[in-house]
Amino acid sequence: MPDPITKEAFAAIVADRGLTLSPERFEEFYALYPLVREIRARLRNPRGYDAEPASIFSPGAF
Amino acid sequence: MSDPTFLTIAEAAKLIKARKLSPVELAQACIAKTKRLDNVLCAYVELTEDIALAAARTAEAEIAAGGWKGPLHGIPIGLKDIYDTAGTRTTGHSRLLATRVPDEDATTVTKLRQAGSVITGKLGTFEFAIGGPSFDILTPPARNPWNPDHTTGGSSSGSGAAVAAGLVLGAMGTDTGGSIRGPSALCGLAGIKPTYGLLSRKGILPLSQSLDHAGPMCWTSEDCALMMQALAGHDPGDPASARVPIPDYAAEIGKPVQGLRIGVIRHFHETDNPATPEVLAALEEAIRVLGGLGCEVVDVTLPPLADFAAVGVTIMASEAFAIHEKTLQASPELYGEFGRDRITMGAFFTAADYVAAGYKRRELAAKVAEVMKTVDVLMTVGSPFPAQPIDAVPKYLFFRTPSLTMPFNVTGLPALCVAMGFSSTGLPLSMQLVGKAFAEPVLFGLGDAYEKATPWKSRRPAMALAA
Amino acid sequence: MADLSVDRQLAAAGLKLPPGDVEKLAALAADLAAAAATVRRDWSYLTEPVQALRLWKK
Repeated sequence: MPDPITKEAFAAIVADRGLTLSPERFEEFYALYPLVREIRARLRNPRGYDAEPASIFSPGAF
Repeated sequence: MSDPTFLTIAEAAKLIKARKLSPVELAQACIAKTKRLDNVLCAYVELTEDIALAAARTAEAEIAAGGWKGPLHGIPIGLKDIYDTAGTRTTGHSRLLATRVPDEDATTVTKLRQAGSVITGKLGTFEFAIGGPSFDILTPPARNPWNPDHTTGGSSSGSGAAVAAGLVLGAMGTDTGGSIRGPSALCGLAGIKPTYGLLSRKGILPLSQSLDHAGPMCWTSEDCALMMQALAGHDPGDPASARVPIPDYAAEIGKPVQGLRIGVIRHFHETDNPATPEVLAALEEAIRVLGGLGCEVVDVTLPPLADFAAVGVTIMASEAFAIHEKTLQASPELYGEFGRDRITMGAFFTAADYVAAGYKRRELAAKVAEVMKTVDVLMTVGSPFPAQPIDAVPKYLFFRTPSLTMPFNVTGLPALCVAMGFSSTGLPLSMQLVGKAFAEPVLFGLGDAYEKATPWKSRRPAMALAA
Repeated sequence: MADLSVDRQLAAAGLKLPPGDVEKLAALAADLAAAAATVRRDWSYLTEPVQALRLWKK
């Protein structure tokens, strides 16, 4: 697990995503960010280069 | 006749076909009951009385002329307010879309109209099928007819309340992580999330395109089968629409279920997201009933529930944020708090997270497919607890606790919730039956057999009984 | 919209590069931001992405 994100770094992510958060909402999402990292870690496991994601581009299917 | 609003679709259809029940009188009874109860239940965003009565009169005339179209002809059906309806507002229960009037019906709505159903109006949802129960959106949230202090679950919340109370005989919901099955479980209904791609999503406001499913919510499994018959089929307007033969969805209704092999995913509801003792006891009793019907019940093991939840949450939040990015940046104040903040969570996942979730999704689907080779049906609970008080639903429940319904959005397999009794406080409990891809008839047959072997379907919410 | 500095983006992705390489990447950041902006449109709620789900063989 990476080091805890600093509030400064999290503020930069929030700004990059174009979000304007009140101080209360900032604190709420900052507190939730470790949960995002937990979820993110659970998606990573060793897999080969031939692995395919579940969604594929389907020419003609639109 | 006793209260016609509590007839099942199957029962009403027989009477309508035989011209012993008037579609106009049935629609009038549903509308009168809505006017009596909906100030408390808040099931509707908009009741379209004139449109409903016109459709009922048309149905009555067609049937009188010998033109009975099938089991949905003259049947009152409500639509979750994310189904587009030509000429009638479709709001997503959001102030953002308060005045949006589509030009076209969703494909599924067209199919319902072609089958002769009487569309009664637009039913409440969580905002954009994710934000609720909320009091700070377009209209108040739907309440549970079994106890109006409690939630219906969501997001097809008005659909759950309306069917349980007999405001309609069937309703359309959508399910991205459990939004058909949750309200069906908490309101005592039968509700199916069909196989991904079986029902068109065209003309339905999306939450997360690769997890979204349309589906019916009814009082019984048989009624779900009847609605599926009218709804299923390839739609070139939906890029994910499946090209598969459409079976007779009622083919297994009333048939013996002896020999069906049922795999209970015990770790899902006992350790991964433990259900309450009352729910666990009801599930054990349901297993005993199914065993008594001749089913062979075994335990099976799937990957941890949290793995499915991680995939589902990452995909749902990412796709939802992509849809709402601009409006969340420009006018977040137009959303209710729950919808705004739940969708905003998607801002914090990366592109690599989204693709990793896609890899993991395929891996999980393959593992579940391996287990499905050994059984006909998987079984777990529909909800780990009965309906919560409406003001006590945590904002981030879905992110913090792995959902028992999300695995089958992730795998796309069909999943049917069936009522399995009541809590000590009189709230419905539910089981979830999961089938192989496109094997919905097996689920309907099993759900029907269980419903007929148990007394639960004879009970309706006290507040909805005739005054 | 405020910029997210390249070193922070690298850190968020769990990546570490020598300072010189970070500076080279920083020079590209504006181009990347412009590219990301070009894929944003005022599409309707009913617009579908081109990827479709394929979980089983038919």
